Amino acid sequence: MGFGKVISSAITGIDGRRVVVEADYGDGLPSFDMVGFLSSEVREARERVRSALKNTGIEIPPGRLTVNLSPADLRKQGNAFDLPIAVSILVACGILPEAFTDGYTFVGELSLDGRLRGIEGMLSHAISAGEQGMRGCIVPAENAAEGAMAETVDIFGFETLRDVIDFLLGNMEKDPEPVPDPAARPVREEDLDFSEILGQESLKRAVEVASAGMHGLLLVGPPGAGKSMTAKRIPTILPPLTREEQLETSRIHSVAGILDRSRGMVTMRPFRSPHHTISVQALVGGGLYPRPGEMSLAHNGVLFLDELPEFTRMTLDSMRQPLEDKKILISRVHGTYVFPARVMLVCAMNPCKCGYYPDRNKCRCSEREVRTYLGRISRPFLDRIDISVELPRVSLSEISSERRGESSKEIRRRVLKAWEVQKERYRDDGIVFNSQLSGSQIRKYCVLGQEEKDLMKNVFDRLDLSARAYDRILKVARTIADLSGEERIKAVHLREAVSYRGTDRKISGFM
Amino acid sequence: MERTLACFLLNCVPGISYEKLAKCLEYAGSPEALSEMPGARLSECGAVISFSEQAAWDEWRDPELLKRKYDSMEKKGIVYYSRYDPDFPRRLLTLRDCPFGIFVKGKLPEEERNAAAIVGSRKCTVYGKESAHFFGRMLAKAGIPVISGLALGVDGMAGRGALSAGGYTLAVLGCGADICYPAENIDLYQALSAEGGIVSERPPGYEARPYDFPIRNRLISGFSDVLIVIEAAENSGSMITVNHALSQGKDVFALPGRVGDRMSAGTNELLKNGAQVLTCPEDIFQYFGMTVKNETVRKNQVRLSREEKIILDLMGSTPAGVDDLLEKSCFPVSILTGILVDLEIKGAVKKNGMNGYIRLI
Repeated sequence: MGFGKVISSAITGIDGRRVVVEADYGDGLPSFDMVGFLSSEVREARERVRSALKNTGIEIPPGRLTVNLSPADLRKQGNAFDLPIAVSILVACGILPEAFTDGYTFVGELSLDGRLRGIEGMLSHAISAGEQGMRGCIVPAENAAEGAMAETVDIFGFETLRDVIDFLLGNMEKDPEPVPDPAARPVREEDLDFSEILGQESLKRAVEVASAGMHGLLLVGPPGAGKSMTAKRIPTILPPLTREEQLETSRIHSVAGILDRSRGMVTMRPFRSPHHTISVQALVGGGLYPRPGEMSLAHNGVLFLDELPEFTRMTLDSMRQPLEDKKILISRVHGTYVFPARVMLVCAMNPCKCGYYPDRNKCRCSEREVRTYLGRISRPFLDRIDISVELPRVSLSEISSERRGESSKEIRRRVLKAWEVQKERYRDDGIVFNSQLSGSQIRKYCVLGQEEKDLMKNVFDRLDLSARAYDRILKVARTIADLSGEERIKAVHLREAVSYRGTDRKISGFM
Repeated sequence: MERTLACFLLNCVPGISYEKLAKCLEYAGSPEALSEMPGARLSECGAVISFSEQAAWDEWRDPELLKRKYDSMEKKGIVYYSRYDPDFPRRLLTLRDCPFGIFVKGKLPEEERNAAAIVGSRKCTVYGKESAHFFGRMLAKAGIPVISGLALGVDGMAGRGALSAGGYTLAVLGCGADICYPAENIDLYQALSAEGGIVSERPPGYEARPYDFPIRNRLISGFSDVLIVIEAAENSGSMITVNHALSQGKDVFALPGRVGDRMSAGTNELLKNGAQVLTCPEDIFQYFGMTVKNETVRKNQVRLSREEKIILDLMGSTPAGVDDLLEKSCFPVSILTGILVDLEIKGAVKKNGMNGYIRLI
């Protein structure tokens, strides 16, 4: 007859949250009840725990067993509770002294034979345990390396329930899992490189500018012009992830269960390319108990939307707010979840249904079809794209050309320099990139001289731009100036920025 | 029945073709006399009038119904001119199949001015759009009314060009004058009802069917003294307008295109068959015997820097890709894009939408 209590952890959004697992063992008809707002996979833990204990060689004498997971208003789901439930029962039955489990956070799934199985969201559990000042985490061996990356708490990885018991009883010595050495972390061979893109110098330049300021990028071109090929290579010219960024992104990937455990932390900037049939929930995150969507999985990396007009309007419009705020807020009756989503948005589309407009010898779409096709994307969404480039068909001379372009490494160096300039400048403004500049910040940081003002006036009168386009041009010009290491925006920067305006006019009917 | 209202009846009565009504009118002698004839007697004129047509005629012959329709039309700001009206366009009176009357929104072109119609494909190329806009603008600037059809593509661009020069332009519709078809051109439609004119042979509320457009085309050429074809594929609708113009004894100008360009096949064919060659607005001015201070010295008005000249010289008649220009000029890409924007501001080049630029001067 007794009572046992151990600490575990649950995932809400991408954060770990402390959960107390209590077990009460008393007289009465033999039974095993579990309470505490449980999802069905947690409820099923009862059978796994019973068998795992039996197969580990532990006899629980018949009695009335009640397990409670608190706080009672937090929905418990996932497979992390098997181990803490088993341990709490052991404490309640007096097999393990309670003091031995003090200060540890337990997470892990059990198999019927008593082995421990890996779980999702380990990184978040470990970070949360660290914040609570726990002594250590008892986790499945599979997750040990992942948990150790949090660096704030000792991680002990075990293969079986038996080993856990032996360790807690002091029958087995075990050192905490070593913190993986960043240098020793396997860095993925970067098999993609910008030098593989032949010719198309103007495209490469536009991509470089977009990357330097994390501007939204739209690639318009006929099939086979190299839109996807270019987009896939954008992560290779973005500066490497910093330690904090690695942690942020790994955490999201860990919760979503797509973290490659053999590789540990996410070290490459993510590149996510959801299909256009994707639902709103899958894109921005959602569900009754929200999980991160593709936008969050692309956090600190590139979100690529191929065939942009094929996405439903609802899907695209759902991205507007997150693109602005760099995070996604999902409200449910039982709480509000925040998922980070700082992405570089890259979109690709054909100019018309058949893809060959305005080459009238090939394109047989009617004027109306072209307009309908372009009109599927809402204005407010296009307003979030600063740079638009058109890709012509690649000519034969370019395909067969022997000349190779610049490598990703060289471009990345320039982009990194521009990033550093921006970080320094916006230290006190709570933003990082030129693309995030608000109206008042634009007036503060994008000051124009007289010559530049005259140019902008000219551009406005002659090229028929909207007021919104004005701000976009200034933001892009700021990035171009940063790329060339200039303090002030000069006319030459503005001119180049004007050439990237694209979308504004195309939909307006003339083109 | 009063004469205007009697003509109004002829325009409004649904289901009876123009040819049959014309025959009846000839037999009756005047619209008033015709409007007094009951449907059963219409067949006396020699045309075959079916029972349903007779029924429609009897229904619409009611003066009260017509008066009501006439009033509601006036409320929409549409004016009706019968062919007996002194303000009815004189050019149309000479047509073999002159309409019984026309519905006008806005103004009619001034009779004493030489007018030009600009027509062409709806699916035109950038070249076609540019040219339509350019000729529309230049002709309107010289005071020549530009007649067109409000269609997508060439027609619409010609109208926009004319309006951009502050000139007069007239659109002839296949549907009622109160309907904007195609809806995409609503901006143009509104500008025309304020500053130009919209004309239709059909009563307000009438929705066009495909066979209405060839009939409408005879009025486009009818309103004008010369027909300009900008771009047309072979056997396109523009060719119907050309045939109307020729049978009305009007001259046809065609804009030459490149051999092998689908959208220029029709115009090139026209040129081969003896249409006049149109290469600049002066061709039209000369045809009309007008002396217009020519603006082709535009080229000299634009001041170009040395770099801009280099780039411009590298561009030929076909759209030049930015990457081609990069290779030929050896400018760094950031500079070249800037130069092209400058040239665009100066009106020397224009973006064609596929990372290419077209030379305009």
